[in-house]
Amino acid sequence: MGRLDEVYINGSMEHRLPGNLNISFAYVEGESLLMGINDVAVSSGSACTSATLEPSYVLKALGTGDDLAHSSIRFGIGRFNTEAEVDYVADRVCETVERLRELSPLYEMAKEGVNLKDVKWAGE
Amino acid sequence: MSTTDLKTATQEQRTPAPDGIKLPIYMDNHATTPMDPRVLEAMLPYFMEKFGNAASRNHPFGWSAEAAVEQAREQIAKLIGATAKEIIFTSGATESDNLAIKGVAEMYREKGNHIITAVTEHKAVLDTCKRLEKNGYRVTYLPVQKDGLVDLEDLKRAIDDKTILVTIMAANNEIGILQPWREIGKICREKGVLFHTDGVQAVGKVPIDVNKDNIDLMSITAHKIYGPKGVGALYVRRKNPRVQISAIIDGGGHERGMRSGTLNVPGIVGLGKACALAKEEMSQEGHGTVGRGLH
Repeated sequence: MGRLDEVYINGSMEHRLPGNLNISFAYVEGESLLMGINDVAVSSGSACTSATLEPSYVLKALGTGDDLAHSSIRFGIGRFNTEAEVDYVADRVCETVERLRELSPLYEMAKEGVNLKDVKWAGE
Repeated sequence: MSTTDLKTATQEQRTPAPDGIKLPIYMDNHATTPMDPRVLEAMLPYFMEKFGNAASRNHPFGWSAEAAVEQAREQIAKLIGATAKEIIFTSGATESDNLAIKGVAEMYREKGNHIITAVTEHKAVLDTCKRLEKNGYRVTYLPVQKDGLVDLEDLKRAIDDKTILVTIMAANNEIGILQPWREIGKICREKGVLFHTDGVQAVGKVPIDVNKDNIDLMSITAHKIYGPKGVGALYVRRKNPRVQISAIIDGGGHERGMRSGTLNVPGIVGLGKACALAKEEMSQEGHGTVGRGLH
């Protein structure tokens, strides 16, 4: 997934289970990404409980902001996954993240150098 | 943006699935794993042909069920460096976590009422601790560092003369990080505090040895290691020190009184086989070579 920018790995890379990757794709909603890659079964870092979409308490404990927590996906590769499947999933994720970001005004603003934290939003 | 727009937007220019790839692809193996066909094969005779109750002492139906259960106990024990008698069968990891924490809390109540855990634990541990807080126990929830690991100095500082148990998972279910369980075990042993670890995500994937790592209790489940759902185990140390726990399910005195209820023989056979396969294949699967910096 080297072709994507603004990708953050959640948790230590050194002390980690083999086969696990938990990644946040900035400016992309995890739930939208899941919808976009609907032929791949993975989990998002938001636990959909009742009406609210709560970001994961584990990611919050690491100090991950709500935005990045909502944009996280957990991949769990197992005994029966093939290399071809892993390659396919990586391609699908990259193209879906790119397409979702093309539609994201926030990503566009960030690319133009706007610091989103300084923006005064209407209604704020 | 409507769902339809989103679908159109995300499905354009989709990479076609290469030949030989069957969709959908399952890549959520921390939630659960598919059963290994070899596990299923081992279990099948115990549904119909060898259906006996492992507690039936008077006939061969019971004896063959009991023999299968004892073989599974050996297989599980071997994977984690324990002895067969230290394996207590349960319905899965949630029950094992409950049994370990509530069982120790009740048994050692006179010694102390303080338990230490971490904020990133599984809900089976966190909610069990919250229940104990309502019953007069004191719980410290350790924070974690940016990389997800607990700070060992925080742990040392949190232990006091009323601390009876530290419960910190080996591998985290969400972010996959490995806590420094061996170092935690060493600290607990030095301070004379029992150490429980939820080993659900780590057992069978990275080497864990309850003796080298000073683990006193460890929760295990079958369905994360290519075994069936609805069966798990709790490792309970019998020597140096001998750990005692109160039961949370009372009844016929199965599992030496620690967990009553007729044993789920096919499930137990499946858990045993899954552990045996994990032990054989851990190195081949690349497991045990990555991410073990502290061990």
